[in-house]
This record gives sequence, structure tokens and C-alpha cells, in this order.
Amino acid sequence: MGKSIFQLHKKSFLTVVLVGVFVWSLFAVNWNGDLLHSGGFVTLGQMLGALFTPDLSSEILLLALKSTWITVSYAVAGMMLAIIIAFFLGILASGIFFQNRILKAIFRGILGFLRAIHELVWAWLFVASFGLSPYAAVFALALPFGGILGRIFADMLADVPEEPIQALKSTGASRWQLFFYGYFPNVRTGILSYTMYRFECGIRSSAIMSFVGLGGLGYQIQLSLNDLHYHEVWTFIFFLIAVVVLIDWWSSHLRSKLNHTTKHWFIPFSSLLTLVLLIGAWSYIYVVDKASFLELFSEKNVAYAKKFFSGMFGVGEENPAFFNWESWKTALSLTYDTLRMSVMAIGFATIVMFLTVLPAARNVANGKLTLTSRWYQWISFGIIRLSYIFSRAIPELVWAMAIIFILKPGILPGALALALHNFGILGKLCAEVVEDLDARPIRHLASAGASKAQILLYGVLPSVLPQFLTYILYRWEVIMRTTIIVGFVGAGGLGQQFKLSMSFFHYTDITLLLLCYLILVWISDYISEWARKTARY
Amino acid sequence: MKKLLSMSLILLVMFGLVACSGEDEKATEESKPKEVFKIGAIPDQNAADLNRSMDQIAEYLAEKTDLEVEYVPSVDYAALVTAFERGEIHLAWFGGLTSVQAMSLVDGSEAIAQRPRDEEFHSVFIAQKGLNLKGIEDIKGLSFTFGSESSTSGHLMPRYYLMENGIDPEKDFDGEPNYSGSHDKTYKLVEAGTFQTGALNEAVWEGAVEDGLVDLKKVDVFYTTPSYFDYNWTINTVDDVFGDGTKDKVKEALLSMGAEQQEMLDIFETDKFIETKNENYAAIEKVAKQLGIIK
Amino acid sequence: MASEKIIEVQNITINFEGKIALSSLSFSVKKGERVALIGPSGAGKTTLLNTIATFIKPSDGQLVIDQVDSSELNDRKKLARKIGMIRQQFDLVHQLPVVHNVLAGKLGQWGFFKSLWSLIFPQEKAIAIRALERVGLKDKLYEKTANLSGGEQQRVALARLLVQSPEIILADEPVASLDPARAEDVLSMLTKLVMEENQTLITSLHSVEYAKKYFTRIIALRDGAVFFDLPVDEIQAEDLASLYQLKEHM
Repeated sequence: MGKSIFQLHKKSFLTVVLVGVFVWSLFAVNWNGDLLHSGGFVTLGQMLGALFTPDLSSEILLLALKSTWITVSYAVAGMMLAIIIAFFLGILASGIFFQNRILKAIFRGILGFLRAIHELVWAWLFVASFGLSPYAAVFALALPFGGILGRIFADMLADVPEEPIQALKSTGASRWQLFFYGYFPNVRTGILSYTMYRFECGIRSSAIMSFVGLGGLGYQIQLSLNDLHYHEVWTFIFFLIAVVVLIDWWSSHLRSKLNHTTKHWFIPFSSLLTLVLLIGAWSYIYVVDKASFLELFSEKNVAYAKKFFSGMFGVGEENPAFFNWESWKTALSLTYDTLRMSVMAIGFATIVMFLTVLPAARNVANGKLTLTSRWYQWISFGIIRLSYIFSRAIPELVWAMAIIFILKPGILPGALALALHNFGILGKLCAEVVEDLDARPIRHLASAGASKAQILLYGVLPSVLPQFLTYILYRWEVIMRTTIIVGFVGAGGLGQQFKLSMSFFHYTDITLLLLCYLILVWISDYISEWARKTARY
Repeated sequence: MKKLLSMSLILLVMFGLVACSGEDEKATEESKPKEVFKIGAIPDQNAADLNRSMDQIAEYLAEKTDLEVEYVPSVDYAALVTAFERGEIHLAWFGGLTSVQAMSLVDGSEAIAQRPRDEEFHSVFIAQKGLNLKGIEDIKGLSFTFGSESSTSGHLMPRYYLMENGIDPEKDFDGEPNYSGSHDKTYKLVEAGTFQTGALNEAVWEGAVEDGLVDLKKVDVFYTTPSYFDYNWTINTVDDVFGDGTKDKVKEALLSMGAEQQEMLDIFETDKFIETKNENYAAIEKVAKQLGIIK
Repeated sequence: MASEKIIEVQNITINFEGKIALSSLSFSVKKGERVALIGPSGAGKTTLLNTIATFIKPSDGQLVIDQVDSSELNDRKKLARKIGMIRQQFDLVHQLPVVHNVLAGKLGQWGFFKSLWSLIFPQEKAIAIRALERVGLKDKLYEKTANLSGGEQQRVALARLLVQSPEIILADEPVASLDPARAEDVLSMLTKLVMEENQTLITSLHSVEYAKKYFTRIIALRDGAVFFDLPVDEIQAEDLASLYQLKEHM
């Protein structure tokens, strides 16, 4: 009996634990102290003031256009390589070719490793070993995205129904024939639509590659921020939002068409567009950037890469940081801070999401769900959806760069930057959950005279919470990976130390920090998976 | 049609790979004979102004040395040091710390020229006017920003003199110290009120005051550090790449800049460059080691 | 020639995790025979077919196909010329157009690049068209397989077998998910094609009716052993009654 009560309240128990963890994270900040810079509000005012007067001079517009194209080319080229990586590693990790468990685990591990390290950290490592070549950006995008796509590809392949494969086997098909006639057609639509979905993230990631000195929109945003030219900053941000929204629209439109059985002109159109983008991107990188691929592996580069990596492994260093207890102590305390930063970030994002998710759902705005319709509901719907787009389209790093103008350095600005970027994503995902809700029980409650709050408590929350929780935990994993990034610009945690160590060429410290970062990512993946499982049963 | 989409993708990937390896070989062969002499500068000031002046200097050097000279902008101090180490930058305008980093990374690289003021360089500590600070010890309990973490006059030496005066930058300020990234940004952030105090390069400060870029009613200097060696032009082992005598040619070109080149010298707040040598920076190296920045 | 034994099953035993699925089974099939496997669910029909197809290795006993011991039949490409399989309609790749599912019968003979190229420009299309013509689906050549009805899908699977053209066809409940009219249609077509090509057919079935109507011989399985093995015209009503009744009592 006692057990069954525990079962009944298992989810509530989990919720209490999660809320508790969030509250604990808040203690990392001294809320009594002055959190804002003494002139933080003034700076905020200047920034917001510039929002409505972006710099629209032809010089800046042209520069923005060019930077947008650089950002898109790197993203397109990076995604293409990511698909190739995902293709081969995904097949190997799916176990369709080799049943060998150890091999499968090894390739899954490789995919996990590629995914665990944020693209900007990859970019930094590549720039340090290859120099400032566009390939550093392309590869840095390709690896983590290859890891994500490869993992999904592997999962999809492993889920392909057994029967058609058996049948093909009996026609004498070889492994690769099995793949192209059996496995691949089965997963093609799925992987295509997932890749398109990821493309939008690729654009945003490509924009922040600038931070290590590789051109694009982020580079311009950073330069303008450095010179405190807020009007220009907004111009570039608007371009970034526009391209993200455009890609998002393209991808979601294409995905919905892919899932139809009938053919639609949009699909061949998209193939053509993909082709044009690919050709455009690569020719830009070859011709305009004059980036030579083979030179990456020149003797000189190999020597530098070797030097860099032996530096990281502490070759020849008397006292490498990772054998030094003092360094470990500092790194671990930063790790602890970073963990709290991530929890705080997802907590803030969740709170804002909960406050806005209902008005942001189309079926609430048009009154279908609650049976009450007010004219202002469409206005709030529009405003909130707009804020979601805004929040989502601006990368965490850019949010962080702006926030450190206003808030004092520490964990809080990092957490806020992460929250600002993630509430839009979380809000959009969760609003879609509400939109897919079965409306009948809710309407019943409404017609029985339940107030809005009661409808929320009895009708909406119980049916949407499990899905919300899944998304929240999933976003938390992503935030964990990104904590290191916001630190780069001074928003605290492991990232800040990482940046300092990079500047001072303290290679073994970098290794130690990366190690702590990886441990953190792995732990968070594990906890999140555990919590999602608990929530499901 | 979906088939078409995925097939065209696969084909493209293949063609892409084939095409790319082919074209590259050509590109490498062609680029070999004409090596461009690349110059860089640490991004410690307004990027737009720096780009303009450095482009002019590249032009001047090209004219004087018969080399093809190009300025490569950089967003990050460390990135410039790395590029220098890799031989992708042949001549760089470094701060004291970055030049020490560069010289220790590249054997045979040399500090060849500096401004007269770099022999006796200072950092200034600035504060909002209303605070009425008298000396460096008054800074305790206020918010503070350095410049770039790799800057000598914006970070290394201010940190050194703070410690000398018994102030621990990690503990004694209101919050952790910030790293603004550049000297311009430091005084602008203090002027805007974002931070109460900050430390920056004396030359940049004087330039800003002269050009009226900073409102002295809002911000002023309350402490100036003792002198130290700072900025210089550090040259890579260019004789190996461009032939013997290149280093001397470049050095000569830099040292002969004068009134005619005043426009491009303005960004450096000087009217000429003078000779310097690696040994001048031993003190900086010592301080950096003491602070644990160089191991 | 007609009396040549093409399949010889000798004392075959299959264990799944300690459970006996087939116990010491023996029989042989001559070339050109059409054998129906019947028996209650769980009797081991599918296991037996998978064993003959060499998907499952017997724990004990011997399987000889066309005078070759099954342990020597390791080359799947060669084996595909000997044995072809058809099951419920799940064994087509739904996302591919019909033509590729039919041409998949050629995979055993095609090299990798030819088969990859064929996905863009179908190779040996004439063979696919002829096969589809014989199953009455000529007009569905480029139709997406998922859009076909269950009966049509099963006929596509038959067309694939025609292209593969093995000597032995193993059919595992080929009509289980079809309504009676379509089931008869598919079975009559299957047996007709097998006769025309002089192939050997072993089919597992639920319906005794169909077994009697379209086959020459019936092997009844119960609890992993042969319950009876008779030519169709010698089967008595009692045999069938005891085959299924016994099971119900258990």
C-alpha cells in the first residue's frame, strides 16, 4: 500500500526535487548585493533606445548582407559534412552492419563525445591547430552536428522493422544493398526532416563562430558591441533574426510536405534550393575565402597541431594542471558554479515559459480550448510569439555579451543569458503541446463553470506536464553544454576560466577544464535521462 | 521527388569532395610563389579606426619594402599571438605581455620598434567623478573593470600595482573584476556608469581626452602607475621567408616614419617610432610570471 | 528428374533458450512439389521455414538443399538463386516505389554500384515490367508501395520472387492478413506461377481449405513435430480434427 502511494506521488516527488534543486541554485547568487552595475540601467536604456533606430546606412546594410551570407555558407558547408559524418558513424553505431556489441558501444561513444563538446569549443581547438581558416568553422559545426544527427540516424536505423530486411536478405542482398534498398528508404524522410530541423540551429551556431575570429554576423555584432555602437548591433541582430526565421519557416514547411504521401512542388523546389546553397557555400569558401583544404594538413599545420595537443596533454610540462590538486580544487568549484548556473537558467526559462505558454497557444487565443474568446487574446498571442522568436533567434553568446554590460560579472548574467535564449525555445515547444491537447475534457471543465486557474490546474496541467518535463530536461542538457560558451564573454563559470587560460596559453589548464566540462555534460545527460524515465512511468 | 532530393544530396556530397580536393591542389601551387607579408595589431581600440590606420601602414610598408603587405584584423589578443606563432603574421603591434608571449613562442622573433612613450609607459586608473577618489587604496569596495585579459596596460600592470598596494582584485572589489576587452570600452563603460572604476592605457586615455571623446565631467583619472615598458612592433623570423635583410628593411621603414605619415601615426598617439630590443621586456615577463600569467 | 529430392530435413532440432521449438523433425521434398504446412499456432511452422531458409541454424540434425549440406551454404548470393521467401506484406519496403521492390529480386546478382545506380535510373526495367504484368500490376510501376492495398502488395512480393526466380519458394502465411477473396487471388496466382516456373513451394497456412485446394501435399506440425505428412487426396477429416482439437484441450 505504502508503495502504491509512492507510485501515485512519484511524479510529484520528482517535481518537488526539481523545484528544490532550482531553489538551491538560487543561493549561488547574493541577492542582497547590488547585482546591477551602478550604471546598468543607463546602459540598458541606451541599448533599448537603439532598438528602434537600427543603423540603416547602405554601408552597414551591405556589410550585414555579406556577413549573413558568410554565416549561411559556413552553416550549409558544416551541415553537409555533418551529414557525411552522421551517415557513416550512424550506420556503424546502429549495429545494422555489425552485431558486435562492443563495436556498437564504441561508435555510440564517439558520437556522444562529438555531441558533448560545444561547437564553439571545437572551433577554438581547430583554430588553435589549423589556424584561422574557414574550415575551422566548418569542421567545428560538422563535428557536434554530426554527433547529434548520427545518434538520431543510428536510432532510426535500429528501429527499422525486421520483416522487409529479412525479405531482402533472402533475395541475396549484400550489406550495402540491404542498406540502400531496405534501411535507407525507411529512414530517409525521418532523417531529412530532422536535418532540416537542425539546420536552423546550425545557422545560429555558425553566427557565433565569429567569436574565435571567424567572420560572419556574430563577428560584426561583437565588433559593434566593442565599439558600443548599439545602432549597428541591432541591424546585425535583425539580419540574424530574419535569416533564422526564414530558415525556420523553410524547414517546417518542407517537413510538413515531406510527411504527406502526395508530391508537392515545394519538395523539388527545396532540392533545387539546397543545391544552389551548397554550390554557393562551397564556391564562396574556395573562391572568395581562398581556403585551401589540403593546406590544412600541410606539414606546418600538422606540426602546430601536434605542438598544441602535446601542450594540452602536458608533454614536457613540470607540473601539469591536471596533476595538481590546487588546480583541481579551483576547477571543481567552477564546475559546481557552472552546474548551478545551468539549473538557474533552466529554472528561469521554465518560469517564464509557464507564465506565457497558455496565451501563446493558438487554441487558447482563439478560445477553442477555454470557450471564452476576447479580442485582446490575439494581441497577447502575437506579442508572446514574437518574443519567443526574438529570444530563440539570438544565440546565448550574444545575449551574454549584452547582459554583461548591465549585470555584474558572476553566475547570474550567464544564467540569464541562457534563460533568455531558452525560454523562447521552451515556450514554442510547450505551446505546441498545448495546441495538440485533447480539448474535450477541458471544454467540459469550462462549461461546468471552472475558472481559468481551475482549468489550468485540473484540465491542462495534468495532461501537458509530462511532455513539458521532457522538454525542460532536454533543454537543460543543451544548456549544460552551452554554459561554457557564455562564460567566454565574462559571464562566469568554467567558460570564463577557459577563456583566460586560452589567452595565457595555459594548455594543461584547458585540458583540466575540458575534462570537468565533459564530466558535467555526462552527468547531466545521465540525470536527465533518469528523470525522464521516472516521469514516464 | 523525395528520392530526387536525397539522391541529389548524396551526389553533391560526392562531387563536392572530389571537386574540392582537385581545386585545392591548384590553389596551393599557385599561392606558393607569392608570399604576402602580413601585419597585425592587437585589437585594443576601436576596430574601425584601427583597421583604417593599419591599412595605411600596410600600404606604406609595401611602398618602402617592395613586399606585398596586407593587414589582417583580429578580434582577440590571444588569436593574434597564435597567428604570430604559426607564422601567419609577420609583423605585429603587440602590447608588452603579448609580445613577451610571442617572443617566448617563436625563437628568433624580435622587438624592433616602439614609441618614445613606450619606454616609460603608464596605466591610468579612472573613476566616476562623483566618487572623489584620492588614491589607489580608495578603490576597495567599488566595481572595477580591466581591459583585455591579455593587455599589459589594461590588465597585467594594473593588477600588479593593485597587488603592490595591498588590493586583491579577486576579493576587494564589489563583485569580481570585469574584462572589458579593450581600452576604449573600459573608459566608455565607466563613463556610462556600468562600472565605477577601471584601468587603461595612458596613451588611449590622453587621445580620448584630446579628441573630446570622453566627458571629463563624468570620469577622471585618480591614479597613475609607475612607468614600465610596453607596446612594440615585434617581427617574426621573416628573413627565412622573404630573404635576408627583410627584417632590417622593415625596421628601417618603421623607424623612418615621420611627419609625412602623421595621419597613420595618430592612432598610436605618437609622431615617430624608435628602436627597442627584447631585453627591455624582461621586467614585464617577470611580473607576468609572478602573477602566474606566464608559467 | 521429377523424383529428385530438393530438400531433405533430417532429425532437425531447434532450441530457443532451453525451449524446444522443433524436435527431431524429418521429411524430404521433391522438386516441383507444392507443400502446405498446417498446424495450430506455435506449432513451429515459421521456425521450420526460417530453418530451411537457413536464417536459423539447427541445434541438431541436418538440412540438405539440392544435395548440399546447409552448413556449406554460406554465400547468400548463391543461396538466393536456390531459395526465395515471401511473407505477410510487411516484407516490402514501403517507402520505395514498386519498381525497386520488384528489382530487389535482382540484388543477389547485381553489384553494389549497379544497385545504387538503379535507385536513380532503374536497371533491367523490362524484367520488372514483365513480372508486374504477370501479376497484373503493370500500371503500378512507379507507384509508392505504401499506397497499394494489401492484396496488391502481396502481388508485388510475388513479382519480386519472379525476378529472383529461385528454385524453392518458402511462403510464410502469405495470405494471413488478407480477406478471403484476395487471399484466394494471391494463392492461385502463387501456385500458378510456381507451376509455370517448375519451382518447389512450401507454404505455411492457417486455412486447411486453401491447403487442400492449391497444394499437392500437406505436412501437419504440432508441438514442433510432424503430426502427419500426406498427399492431399489421402487426408481424412479425423486427422484434421485431432490436429486442431487436441490443441484446444490443452
